[in-house]
Amino acid sequence: MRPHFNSILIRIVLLQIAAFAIAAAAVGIASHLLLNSASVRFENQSLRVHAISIAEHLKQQTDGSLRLDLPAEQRSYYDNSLGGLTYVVTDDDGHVLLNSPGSGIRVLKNDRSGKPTYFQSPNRRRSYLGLSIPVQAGSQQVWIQVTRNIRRPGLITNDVFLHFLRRVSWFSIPIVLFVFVTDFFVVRRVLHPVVVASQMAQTIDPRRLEVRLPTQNLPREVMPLVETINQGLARVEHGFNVQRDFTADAAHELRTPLSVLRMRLDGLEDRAAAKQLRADVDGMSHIVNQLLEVAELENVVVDGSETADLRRVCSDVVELVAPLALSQEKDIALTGSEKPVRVRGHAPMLFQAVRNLVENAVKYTAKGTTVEVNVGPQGIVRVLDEGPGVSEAERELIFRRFWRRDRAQTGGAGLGLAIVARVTEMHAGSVNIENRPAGGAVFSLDLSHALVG
Amino acid sequence: MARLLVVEDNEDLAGLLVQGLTRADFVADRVGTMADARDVLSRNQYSAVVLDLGLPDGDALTLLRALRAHDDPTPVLILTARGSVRDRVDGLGAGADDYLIKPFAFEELLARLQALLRRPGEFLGKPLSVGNITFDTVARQAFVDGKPQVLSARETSILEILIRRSGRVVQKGAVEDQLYGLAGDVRSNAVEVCIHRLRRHLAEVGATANIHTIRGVGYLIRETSS
Repeated sequence: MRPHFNSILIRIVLLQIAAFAIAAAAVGIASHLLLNSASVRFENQSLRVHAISIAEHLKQQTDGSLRLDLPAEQRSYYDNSLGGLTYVVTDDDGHVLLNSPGSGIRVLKNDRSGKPTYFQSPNRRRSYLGLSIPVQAGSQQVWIQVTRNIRRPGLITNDVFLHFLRRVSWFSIPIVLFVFVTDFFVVRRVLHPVVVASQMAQTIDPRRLEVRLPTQNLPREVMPLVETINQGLARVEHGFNVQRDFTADAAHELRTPLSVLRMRLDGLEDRAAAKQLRADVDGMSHIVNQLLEVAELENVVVDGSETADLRRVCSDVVELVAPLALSQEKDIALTGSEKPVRVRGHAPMLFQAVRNLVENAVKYTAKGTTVEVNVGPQGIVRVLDEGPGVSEAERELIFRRFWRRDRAQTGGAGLGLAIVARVTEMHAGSVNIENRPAGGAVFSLDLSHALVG
Repeated sequence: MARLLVVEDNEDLAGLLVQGLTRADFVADRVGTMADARDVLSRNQYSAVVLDLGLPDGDALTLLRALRAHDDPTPVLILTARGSVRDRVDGLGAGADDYLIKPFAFEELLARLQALLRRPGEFLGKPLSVGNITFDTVARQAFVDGKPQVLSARETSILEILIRRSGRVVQKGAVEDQLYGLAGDVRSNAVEVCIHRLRRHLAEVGATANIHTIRGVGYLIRETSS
């Protein structure tokens, strides 16, 4: 239920239904009250007419007693089964002198002021209305009290009210339904630009940072939100570009002086010193390259539609690292699938990941041993070495940036495996480390879930 | 004598490059901007261009594209600090023949330039060498310690393709293609047999370079480490 209230459309319709219900109730109550007071006024008038009519036909006989000679038509009003009218004639002390047949006699204590008095039944159900008027009948002061039972069915006012309600609901229900339906379409039409902006917002991703939400035809109330989002997007795009430019500039500023340094070393007279210095420059270049790779990886976004051939990636890596391995009197081999192994992913980044695994293996393994790169047909690349292996305790640590097993000895910056971890993460893959029974480590880059076909 | 153009805005590096290339018997001109490069390229014929990408007056890739749009076949080696793989793909896509990232070993630059210059139909330079083996690409003749060697046509082809990329891996497929080009049937292990014979021959005559097999990938010739 709850998520439905998040739709502006549904909120508006529900609120309108609530508003209509309240308004309908108010109209009902108000008209009931108005009708009631009108009917009371109407009844009072009618009672007055009846009372006066009784007074006209009241005669004092010669013996002093009172006699009421109502015409037949009038008498029928007081036939209890019809109008619910009753009358009572009392003397000044409230003694009943005359009364309509079969009436439950209700006698109001006479008002000594001598003015006509309207009264109601004392209980809250207001079952009758009455009028008491003083009349001079001959020499005698009497009171005529006329009451009408207003709870009786078939009463005029009740009929009018029910009739009115029935008539009103006949045409008001279709009107209300029509309003709701037009409401639905009107609101939907008004909200259309907002829906368009939302759809546009869904297409935003780091590869399409130039996208802005459309502000055309937007309701003024929504405009500030969309404009703020667009400003935010502009800042993100700017930040992204600054970062990318910084990486490119840093690359240039670091690599060019290193090139100059390296070339000057070639011209040195002292060949032994030059060789040592060249190795230092190469080590430094390696660190610079890795730092830049890390920076670049922060900016790269994997396109979901790209595919890479792991066999080809590994072949390229072995080709690249082979001269280094041979120069250190180590062997390197590519084994496993002879056919392409296609996975969803970014080939250049996977190349960096595998290269770092292989370079690492070459670095830590002894002379005369072989580093094997195995490409499994299921999308798993395994790099097997004959080095010291990786202890359980180190398995988490080695993927951290700048972590090195032995800070004093190895030349690198400890970024290689951090790059591997980052690339793997971007491909939603995993890296596992095992030790081989005969010594050495196996790093497995598992991309099996990204296998194509 | 091959005439090269070095387009590099860093004065120190440009000077050192020209020095090194001169020492390697090239004639090298240098310019530091795109405008100058455009100017000298329109007036002179160069055997190859060494091109830095980030120049003060713009991105040198536009220069390269313009060159290729006019069907200028001059080999271009990009020498740049832009190391990302995307940059590399862009560079080669714009028509570069090779791509070398700074910092670089000067020998590597020389080797790659020589490989560019020895493409078919291009300038043929001095003999290739690795260790005490030299290879005359014009006469297609191998020498060890200056002595001419008697090798079969296939062995000669394989030695040539390896020595052109000495120190780097030549994919097995590329070696096979070289043999297919020589007609005759190539059995699946023909390459291995040839490499084996070539390796034995070189060992027998005391060559100071080895042919290494990189299992699953290809072959590589390099100077025997002392």
